[in-house]
Amino acid sequence: MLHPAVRRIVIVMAFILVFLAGAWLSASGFINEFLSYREDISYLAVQHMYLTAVSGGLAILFAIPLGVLLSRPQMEKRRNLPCRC
Amino acid sequence: MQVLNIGTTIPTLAVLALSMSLLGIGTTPALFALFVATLLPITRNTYAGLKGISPALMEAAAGLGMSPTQRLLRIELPGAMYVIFAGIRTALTINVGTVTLAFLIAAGGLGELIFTGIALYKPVMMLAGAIPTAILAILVDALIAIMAFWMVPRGVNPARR
Repeated sequence: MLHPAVRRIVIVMAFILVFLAGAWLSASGFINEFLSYREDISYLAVQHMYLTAVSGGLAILFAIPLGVLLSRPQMEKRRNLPCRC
Repeated sequence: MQVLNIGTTIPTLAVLALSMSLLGIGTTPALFALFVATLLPITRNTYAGLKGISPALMEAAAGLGMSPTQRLLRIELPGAMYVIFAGIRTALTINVGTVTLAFLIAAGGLGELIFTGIALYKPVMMLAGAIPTAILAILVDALIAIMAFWMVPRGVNPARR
């Protein structure tokens, strides 16, 4: 662990760096341009989450029973054979 | 298992292209391709978790007179739950990143901003897609970690011992 005084200095430096980064981003117009896509971002993020949720949910519902099935002793013989499936 | 390995080894972009040629354009083929690409980590972890249950435990359960179904539901699944959740976590976090490719077959998602930004040489537009995608992936990861913490029974949960 760092000495408490050193740690405090590091934390203050980090705050200053974050502040400077924010000031620079704001001065270069990045934040304003970024925020001009606000509506696109919120609409597309919902669509993104929908796609993730549906495909991921289906995959979970399908994959867990499949894994259980594959681990049963009866399946053990033909599990990893490339052919004769 | 080999079939699933094929599904994951083929690049996701190729799976998207293949499912587009089968199912056309839009949301359905994108969902199908993502589904195929997500299957393997979950199945493999479920299998590995169930195989990792100690044989002594299984023998004890059989000695108590449990039927195979009872053994599966009361010993194997709770014991493997932590590994299964790890698989779901990996799979869904990768899935969030892969959904950006769904834009290429007209299914939308944040990839729309990323790919349009690249095509138009607008780095801010690209970042407007990339940063929310990264944040979403981190949120999904954290959410599943929290779910795993509370849903895995205390006795077999390494995080709550």
